Amino acid sequence: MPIYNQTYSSWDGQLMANPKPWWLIAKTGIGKVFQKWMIILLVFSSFQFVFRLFQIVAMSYVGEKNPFQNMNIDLDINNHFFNSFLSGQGFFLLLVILFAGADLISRDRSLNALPLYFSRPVGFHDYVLGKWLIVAFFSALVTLVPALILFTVQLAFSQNSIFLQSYYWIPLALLGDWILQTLVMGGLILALSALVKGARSVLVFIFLIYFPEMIRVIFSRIPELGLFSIKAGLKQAEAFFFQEELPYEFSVWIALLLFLILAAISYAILRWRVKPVEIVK
Amino acid sequence: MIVEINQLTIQYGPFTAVDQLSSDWPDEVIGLLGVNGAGKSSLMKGLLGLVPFSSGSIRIFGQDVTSREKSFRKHIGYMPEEDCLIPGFTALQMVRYMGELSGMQRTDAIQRAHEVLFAVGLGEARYRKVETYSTGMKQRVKLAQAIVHDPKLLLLDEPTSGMDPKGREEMLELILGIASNTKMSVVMATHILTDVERICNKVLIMHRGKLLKDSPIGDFREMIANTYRVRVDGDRVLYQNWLADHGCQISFDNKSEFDVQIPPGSDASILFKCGEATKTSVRKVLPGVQTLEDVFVKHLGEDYHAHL
Repeated sequence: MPIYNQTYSSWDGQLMANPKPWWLIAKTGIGKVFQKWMIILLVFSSFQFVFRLFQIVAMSYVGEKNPFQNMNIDLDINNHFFNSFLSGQGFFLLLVILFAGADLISRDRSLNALPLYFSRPVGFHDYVLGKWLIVAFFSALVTLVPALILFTVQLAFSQNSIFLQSYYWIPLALLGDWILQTLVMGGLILALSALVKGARSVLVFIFLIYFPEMIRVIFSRIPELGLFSIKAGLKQAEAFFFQEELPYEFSVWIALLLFLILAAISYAILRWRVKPVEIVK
Repeated sequence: MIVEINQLTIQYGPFTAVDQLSSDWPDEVIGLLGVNGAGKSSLMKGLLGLVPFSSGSIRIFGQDVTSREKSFRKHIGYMPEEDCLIPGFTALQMVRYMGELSGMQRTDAIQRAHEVLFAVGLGEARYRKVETYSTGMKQRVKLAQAIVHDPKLLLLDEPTSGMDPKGREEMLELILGIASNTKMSVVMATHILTDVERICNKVLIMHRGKLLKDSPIGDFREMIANTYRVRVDGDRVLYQNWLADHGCQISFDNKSEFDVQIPPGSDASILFKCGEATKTSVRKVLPGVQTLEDVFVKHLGEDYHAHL
């Protein structure tokens, strides 16, 4: 059989003037990641959501007559409710970021796909933004989206406007927390993905998240060590966003500054590793 | 001119891949010929702005390739030399995706991906994951992704690399079809002289990053057609002198064989006439130049060794 059974013909269509490659990369990547175990993870992570939803509906019926009030169980729908919901989702967020992000760049590098991307009108920022949006999308699915749904349901079930007047800022806090988490952890997983191969990047990521946390717990008498724990820092920032009492004795501003530095290091690694051509000097 | 290269130098650390190269390429099929490491692939990557320039410039369709604006790449199709695949994709998905990245609408890209995959002979295998493809199939899918958006300029870096003779033949046929039946300009980098001879109408020879020769393919054809490798028994010096007196050039000489370039107007019978005249037995006469190195030697003569 000859190589072709249909001759080549020209195409007379028009190319888009301003294509948005980052959007296409993100869209296509999201579709690909959905084919993995992601669905199962999302189903498991939604258990807490269902429970919290039930809590909102139940509390709207019970109103002021909370039967658990004397048992010191806090079932009120307030800023603490949303903060603890996000804390509960933390483990799933970690898994989702690992599953979605660990091989996003490493597979492109190992199969040498980067020259194909960059031979198109695709720049470094288009590529990285597209990949980051994939991680951001899935992290939103386990944190931002369910939390916003809970907020909306609470609004719908509120008997009066007290909740809205008191907690109108919660969507902003949710958004801020999601951006911070995705910027820090998403940036880190992408940088690791560009630096080392898939499975190894998972291990390094887990090490970077949990080892400093272990050190912090062991040397809890030195509160400043918490600054080096990504987990503790994010928890501190979360409490700050939700206007709760800060759980650790270090400055939230320094923690945010360190996160900014971490994001800058991730960016620098991506700049170094995401290149159309590997130049060996 | 589609491509204007001006005093281009590309360096990787202390190594100079492209050295002060200047050339203007018209809208035709151009062969970039050179041995491995000659700088062909670096020049290809330079054309897309994928490698930094130490000095000089390249303009494609009048646009400087180093500018931040990368829209010129919409009109370029690039088939890299190395295996390049989008992981986890079928051939259809990959080609469609590449079309969309070049600026095609989704529906157009899907339809076009089917067409070009049939055109390169992967119609039956288009729903298979590209990682499972053989070397030849990977070459074809690379070609398909390069032509899906019907570029104005097609850059092919060693398109027949790793293919078996039959596949190579078919690939060349396909490229020839694209080059002759469309308005696409084609630049093909290769170290295989016969591939260039088959496809191109202009040849650029590169060596050690420098442009050694820039001429129409006719010059090469003539040289190939009029060159013979000869072995004789008897007084070979006398034989060679007789040929030299009759306008022939002896360009390659080892202990047993030598190459003879016959002047225009003569043919191979002069080799046998020479045998008769000098009482020498002609044992072997083989047509054509066999290697790229031979071409270099013939073009540069003594200078070739200075280039090494």
